[in-house]
Amino acid sequence: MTSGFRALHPVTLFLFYGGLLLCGMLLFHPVFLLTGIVLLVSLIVIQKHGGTIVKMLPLYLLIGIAIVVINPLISHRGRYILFYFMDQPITLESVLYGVTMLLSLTLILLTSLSYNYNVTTDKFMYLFARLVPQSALVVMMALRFVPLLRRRLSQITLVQRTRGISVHEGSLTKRMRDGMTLVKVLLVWSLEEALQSADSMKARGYGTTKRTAYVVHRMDRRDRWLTGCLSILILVIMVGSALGWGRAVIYPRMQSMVFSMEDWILYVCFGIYMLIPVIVEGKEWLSWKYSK
Amino acid sequence: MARSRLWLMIAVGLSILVLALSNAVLSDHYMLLSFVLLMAVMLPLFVRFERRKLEARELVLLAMLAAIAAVSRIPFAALPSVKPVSAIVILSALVFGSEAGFIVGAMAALVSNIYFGQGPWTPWQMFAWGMMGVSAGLLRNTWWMRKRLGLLTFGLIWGFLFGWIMNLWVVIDLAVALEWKAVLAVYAQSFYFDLAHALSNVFFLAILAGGWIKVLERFRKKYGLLDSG
Amino acid sequence: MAIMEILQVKQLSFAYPDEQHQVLRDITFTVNEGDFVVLCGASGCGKTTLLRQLKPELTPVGQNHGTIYYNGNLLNELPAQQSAQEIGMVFQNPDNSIVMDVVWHELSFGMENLGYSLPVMRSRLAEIAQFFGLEPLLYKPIHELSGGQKQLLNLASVLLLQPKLLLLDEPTSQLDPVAAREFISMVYRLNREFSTTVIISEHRLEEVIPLADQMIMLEKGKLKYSGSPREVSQQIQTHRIHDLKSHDDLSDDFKYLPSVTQLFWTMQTEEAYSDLHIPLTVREGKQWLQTLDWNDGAVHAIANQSIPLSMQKMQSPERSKESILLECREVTFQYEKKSAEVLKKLDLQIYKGEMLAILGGNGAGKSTLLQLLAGLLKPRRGTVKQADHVKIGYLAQNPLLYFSHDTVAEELSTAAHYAGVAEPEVVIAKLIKQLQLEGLEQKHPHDISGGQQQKTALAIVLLLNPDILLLDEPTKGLDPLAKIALARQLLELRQAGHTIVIVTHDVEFAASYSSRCAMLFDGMITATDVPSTFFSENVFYTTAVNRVVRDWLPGILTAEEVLKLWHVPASG
Repeated sequence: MTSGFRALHPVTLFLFYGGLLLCGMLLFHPVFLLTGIVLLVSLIVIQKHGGTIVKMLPLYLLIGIAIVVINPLISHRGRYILFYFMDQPITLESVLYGVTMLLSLTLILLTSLSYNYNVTTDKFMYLFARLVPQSALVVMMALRFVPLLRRRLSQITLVQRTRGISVHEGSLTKRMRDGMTLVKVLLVWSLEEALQSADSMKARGYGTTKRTAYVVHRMDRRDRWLTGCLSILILVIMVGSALGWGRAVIYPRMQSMVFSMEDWILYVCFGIYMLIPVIVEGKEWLSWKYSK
Repeated sequence: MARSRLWLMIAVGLSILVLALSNAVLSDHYMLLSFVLLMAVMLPLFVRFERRKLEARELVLLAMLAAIAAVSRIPFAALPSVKPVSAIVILSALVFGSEAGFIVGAMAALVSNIYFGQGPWTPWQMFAWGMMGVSAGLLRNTWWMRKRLGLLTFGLIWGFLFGWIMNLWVVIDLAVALEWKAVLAVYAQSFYFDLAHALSNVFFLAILAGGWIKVLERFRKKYGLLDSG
Repeated sequence: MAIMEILQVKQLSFAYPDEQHQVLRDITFTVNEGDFVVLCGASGCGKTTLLRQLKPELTPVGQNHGTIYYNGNLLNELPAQQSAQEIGMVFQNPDNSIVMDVVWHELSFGMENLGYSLPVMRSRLAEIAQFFGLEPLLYKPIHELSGGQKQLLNLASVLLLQPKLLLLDEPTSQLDPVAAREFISMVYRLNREFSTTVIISEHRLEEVIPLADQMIMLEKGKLKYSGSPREVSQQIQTHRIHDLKSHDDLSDDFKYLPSVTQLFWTMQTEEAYSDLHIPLTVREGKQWLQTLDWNDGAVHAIANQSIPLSMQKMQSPERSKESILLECREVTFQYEKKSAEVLKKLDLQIYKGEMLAILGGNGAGKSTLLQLLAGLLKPRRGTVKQADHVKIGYLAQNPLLYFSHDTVAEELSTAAHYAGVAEPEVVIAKLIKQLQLEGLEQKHPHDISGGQQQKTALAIVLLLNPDILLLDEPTKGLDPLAKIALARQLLELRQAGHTIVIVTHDVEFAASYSSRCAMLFDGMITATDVPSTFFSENVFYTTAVNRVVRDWLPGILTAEEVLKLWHVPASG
């Protein structure tokens, strides 16, 4: 379950995804983005949750095609005209821009897929709890209540159906009204019971003194090392990007896609960045393979 | 310890903000810019909430309201684009104030996305619902929010506003690249969804306002909750 | 050296603000360190209020009189941190007391509140997790735990603060018998092995009273009896004999004693008895019966009677093909395609006018079966067939599922509206009278007692005028008196022509009041019969009285039945 990249410290993981999201927005260059996508997909496949990509695919294709097709139709900026479509000039720049935008969006969406798999809620809460402890406490309680409320709601739905209150029959207004009746039963019941939860918190000394935090995650040497590497890489990428490296100039006029020296530096940094999780997973895989 | 951590947090936040901001402005990264601004708006609200020492009861109440708002989407799964979350956030804010409204709204978004999937849209949703709560709470004592019609109009406006905010994260990058008419096209496309949201807000607020406010007021009085909110 | 008194309560009275009525009146008692104290009394007698007075954080605002000493010092001067650590409290509903989403986090919650350092938390957690066997559950989300596991988790998370005094407010009322027994034995272990002082309020007295050093009984906010269980039983007996002689109404206090003890005292003619001989457990009951002279003519003749009286008493209705109202034929059910079958080719008939009790272990599928009978679920295979024009009413375990309005009256009138009742006012008025809900009409459904909530929900269901009434665990969380009241209501409904089906864990209730029992096991009905036959064939799954007297009087299930056979002149 928790091995390989997933087993890294939440801070390291969060840093990785935060940086990746940043890269997805900063590095507006098809080659960079494509590299990122390939390596991220391979991470997802190695971690065996490729199914989530397939699930997302239909929606994604819809948005993707829309962007790629609509952009050149509406935007006519650029010098190199490829052809005319219904008297509208279709420019190379606008096509390329659409594709790059699509790649950028793809990387961001893939990042969130991989993030949802690797940074589970408890890890996210662990980070959150250090920054904003009181808000994190509210979220954790809400997370504890959601499954409870879902169970209560299904019981309420069942019982109220015997009284004719149901969201599955009747006119739209009746269904909406009945749906809200179900939620109201849940509201009154749960708020009443919630006061007992508050008592149970007080009984165990909530608010008597400054809280400490029990921590299940421990930052080991590998975590520290990787965190350091990732931070340096992110910094280089941010500074480099601020200097205009790693950025394809498309509008108003497309310029050469060939990498300059600076672009190469940035590309290598980004490559290493994206390879880190793949290497961590790969090492793990090898160690299992040879321990048999 | 708490103070030093707070200041450290602010310092780190500011430096990231400056770096990202300069980056964004220098090279037209509007998406990044919007993210940074979003965080900059929400951070003080969270910090303010952190600085208030709340009773166990108040915390539980906020958590429960957020959870109920998140769960309330379930019975309506059969009815597309009918989401009662907004109505619940607005009503909570009316009774418990703007700060509670913000927390309930933002947390409801965060919590429900844990089940529906987190993504770059999460902060936007947190922002949209959070602001809905803040504004409802701030306006709760004005004469027109006390009128039924005023409340319904408020729900109607926020139905659209919510959709527009959520469009932003898609559109903000297009705005530079594409002509404004493309942006308009996106908004026109989402019009019917926003309209459905707005109308369902009006409907829910119309049927819920009396009963729910009574219920929530009952809890507020019975247990002296969030009085100064 | 004198025994240390951990708690001294002196003339404690309490009233809620702006209310004349005192919820607690002039209560005085002491608890020694290491004692196991059982607190009993009808619902609403002030048990919970009293326990909350002993836990300063939870003491409600109101007018307090009297003093409470904890370890010789005034309790309300105890520093907040010390009180949180040394006085632990476990609540009734395990679901509501858990506030964190994962087991380890819930366990550490209290320690975090008190600002313990990480190494301290780690070692304490390790210790307690071992003691409770919680290690395999440590990383589980709360909603995957069973009710019993949740309550053990609550207990464990309180124990992590190393309390000296443990208060438990009806901790097993939401648990099934097996989990309840496990929980109580854990509490008892803590008491015996670590000398933790325990004050527990309970309705499951059959199991707790034999463990108790002290028993405190409250009535309407006043302390009525206190002492060792045997002493209290003697006090109750004295009271009872006095009532009998003066022809006052018999008090119901007797019902709080273990049924063996009840049996013992109803058969005694003397007021006092040597402490040692009062039986509290089945074992002691048997030992007592062995001392009786079974050659005594009257006893002997009755013991040889072939037909158990309980069978005649119950008037089981006729069971013929025509009188079948509802029938399950080879019903198979599973919740999801991949999940296990809950019911497997189950056959069951429900006959007109009967009261069928379906018994079965935890997770046997009793509630599922009831929901299938109610038509709320559809069988995957097989049929649930209703006779023509049969209406079915279903009362879920939790009455709170029914309430969506601000008053009981609104609740009922909306229900009548949905049910299409012709003359709602008349029908509602009749129901209110029948179910003794008078005076509650304008109250909020959440502000009335559990028993009253159940009756209100029952009224809502009865507005549909069902021929068959299905009740899911109707006795859960009820005190002994409320159970008797419920039984009376059900009997009246039966007389009014309703057929009743209950599913229950409550062997005593099924034995005393049902006309037929069915055992659900492994997805099938394994046995159905009238209670006397049904239970007399069981060794473990039967009433306490039956376990005591079975060698002499097989087929006898309750103290009342024994009494009828014995013809003991009650007042001597």
